[in-house]
Amino acid sequence: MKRIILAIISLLSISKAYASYSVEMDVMSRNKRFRLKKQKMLLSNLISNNSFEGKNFKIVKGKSEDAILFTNKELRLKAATVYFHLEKARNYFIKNLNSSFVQSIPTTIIRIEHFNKFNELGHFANDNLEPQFNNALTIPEGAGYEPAGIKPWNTEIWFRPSKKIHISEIENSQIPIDAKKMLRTFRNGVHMSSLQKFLMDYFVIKIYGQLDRKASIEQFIRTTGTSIMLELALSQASLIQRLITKRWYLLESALIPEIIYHEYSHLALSDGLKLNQSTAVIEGMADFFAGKISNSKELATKVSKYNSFNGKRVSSTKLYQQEFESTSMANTDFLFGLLWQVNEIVQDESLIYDLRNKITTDSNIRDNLIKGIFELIDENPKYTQEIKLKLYRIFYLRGI
Amino acid sequence: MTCDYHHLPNCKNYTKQENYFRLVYISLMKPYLILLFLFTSFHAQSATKQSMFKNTREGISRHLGLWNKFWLDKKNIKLGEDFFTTLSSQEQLCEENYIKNIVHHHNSDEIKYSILSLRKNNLLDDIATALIFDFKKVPFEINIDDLDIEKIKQIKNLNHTQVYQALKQFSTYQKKKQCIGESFTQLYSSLTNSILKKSKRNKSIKQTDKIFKRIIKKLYKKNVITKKTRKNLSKLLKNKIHQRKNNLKNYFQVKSFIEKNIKKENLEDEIKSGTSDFISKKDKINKVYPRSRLYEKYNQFQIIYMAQILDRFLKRLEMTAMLGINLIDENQETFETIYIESPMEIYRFLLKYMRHEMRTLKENHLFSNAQVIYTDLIAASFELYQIPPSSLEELLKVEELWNPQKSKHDKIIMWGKLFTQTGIIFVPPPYNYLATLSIWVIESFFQGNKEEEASFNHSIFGEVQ
Repeated sequence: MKRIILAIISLLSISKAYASYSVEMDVMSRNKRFRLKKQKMLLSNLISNNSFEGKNFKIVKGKSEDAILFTNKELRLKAATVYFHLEKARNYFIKNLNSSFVQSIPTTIIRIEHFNKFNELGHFANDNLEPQFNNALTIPEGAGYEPAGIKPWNTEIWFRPSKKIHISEIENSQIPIDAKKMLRTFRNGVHMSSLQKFLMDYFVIKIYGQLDRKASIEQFIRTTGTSIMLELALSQASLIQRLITKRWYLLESALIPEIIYHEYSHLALSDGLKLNQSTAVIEGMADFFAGKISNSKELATKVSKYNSFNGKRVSSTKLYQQEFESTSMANTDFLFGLLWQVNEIVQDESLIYDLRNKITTDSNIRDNLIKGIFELIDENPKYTQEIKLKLYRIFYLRGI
Repeated sequence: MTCDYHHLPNCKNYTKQENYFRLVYISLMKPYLILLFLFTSFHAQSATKQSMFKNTREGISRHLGLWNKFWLDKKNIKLGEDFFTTLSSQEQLCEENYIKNIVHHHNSDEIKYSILSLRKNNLLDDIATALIFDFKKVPFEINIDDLDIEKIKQIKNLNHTQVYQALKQFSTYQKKKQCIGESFTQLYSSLTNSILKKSKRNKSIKQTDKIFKRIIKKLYKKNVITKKTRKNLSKLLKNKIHQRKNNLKNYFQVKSFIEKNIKKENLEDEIKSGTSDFISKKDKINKVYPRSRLYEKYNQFQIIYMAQILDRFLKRLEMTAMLGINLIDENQETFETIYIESPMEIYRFLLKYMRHEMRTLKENHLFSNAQVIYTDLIAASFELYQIPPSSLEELLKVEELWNPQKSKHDKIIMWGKLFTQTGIIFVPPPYNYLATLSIWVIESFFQGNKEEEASFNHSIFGEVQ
């Protein structure tokens, strides 16, 4: 009898341990118009009924190891948003791409409001060392260092706190509007128009031999005045530039679904693309899957309340530049657009997913990535000669 | 022993007995052989119960536009396979026989739509349709009876024998089962060359046409030909039958030669068979109908040669994994090898090499006067079943790489800009500045963030030109 009771008790405890909960909570999610709105969503696969601890993800604050409680009003929205979109991303890789690797990933620790830099040996860099904002990253697993009390850790995703910073503080910031270029084009147009007018008047004088002196002087003053004003504006182009361009930068990475998908994609691709550094190839691949999960050609746009950067767009007409291969320009949307274009031709996301086995994190776009795509095309007889020819043409037109 | 049957070929000396048996054998076999000959020739005449110009490669027909389709449906003309039961294979090679068949056997005066119906049902292809269309307004029978050389002799300044011979030959074209187009071209050539006082200068086509007209007028006036014959010959002239570059006979000759040269495995390959719109539609870059141009400009040998160029390019593209450039010293020894693995570099090199092969065709004796364009290579390759229809569009687009085309949108912008800029001259200041500003804003709006053309600084082989 005792044994039966013990067995029932142990079964109950096991079932309690593996019990899963579903909770409805406010989450930042896209509406039909692709606007980011607070919406009620169901968070599933939770193993705790009072905190963000799930079978697949555990959401913690900063360096803490304890899951954020549902009662934490300050972080609840962020934690719920991150949890909900991570589950969505995981489901995408399992259902759409049949990824056995993703299925085998143990519970992943997700850190929000975490400003410490990553240290390969120490897990977290010292609190005083360059606190990080407006960003998110996926860190590789580490062996830890027992003598110093640093435990080994698995792959983790970190979301940084947001901070409004001046655009001038950002390295490699891209200027969306070039005021000097714009003014110069306008000035050239005006000068050409003035010259044409002058020639026309000269022609009229030659034919009719008449000259309305008063009108001509007035016209001359107007033309000269406008030209001087234009030249002055051109000389002060940098001042105008500052007035018309956006000066502040802000990114609430834990509230933007595409950033969450992007980071999870790094994790899902990490069996092929190691997370040791940020390169054009690894970022572009993650961008592509973030776009696919969100079912949109735009990443992190139309979220002005939480984000004041331009995001990434598939429609960007950027042509290949050698600089894209460098780490400093690894985050441009060139590869995002290119991979999207490839997928539109091959109509198979699994080809892009399988690409992770053909390239490494250190691969470049021009040679390795393109070669990997063609190797996958050659390996599968379902891809016709037409598809191959299409790919060659689009790569050529992109300047690769 | 002598041979009694000298009229027999290879007559040998036989014995009397042998000769007897031979005589019996021949007398018995002769009627049978005649019957056999008649039967086989009759059979040959009526054997072809199907079209010889069936469409197997062309997609959308250039002759079946919206207007023609609408009228074809409205007129409800439906000609099928049975149309060819009354046309022997020999007759199918003459354009006028199709018209004759429509008028006589199908009692239809809708010649154009009857031909279009055949095209719609793929019983004719676009090339054959166009060739038959040339004859839709010309007589399909011209008779010249009772030729009298004495009457011809009354005409001054003509080589009478030559004219007589030419007319005599033309009068028998139906008996000889020749085509009216071919016979008329011969007649035209003979008559225009029969003038005794010839000027040394080369005459234009217009001038020779006038000469021909004058001769047939004189022939009519001297009662050599009837009024109807003169009228019919004038119609042939008016429809420029003698100026045609191709005819059904030539087309069939080239087509059947090519068909015999199609590799069996390609012919049996389902992916490579089928039709393509791009081969029958107007090519956007060169403004030509690729398949029609192919058969109009080239003979069978040229077509096969051109097809090989594209075939080689595709094979190289399929097989090349790496390029190796050997640097060789004075002793003919390689001192360095440069390997290029980049797929796009290989692609650029192979495209450039194909362009080079295309350009050097001029040096080939087969292509001495031909201006080969890239579309010709594709059409030739497609005709030989070397490329699948699905690849055709993509292969045609490859030309845009070295021959970029302006989009309609760009053209509208260019013209709009040109007219507005000119218009601004008449606008007084300061409004002209406002106009300039408007143009500039519109231009920026349309161009958006359009970047400059791709730079191939990173490439060894550079842009394909």
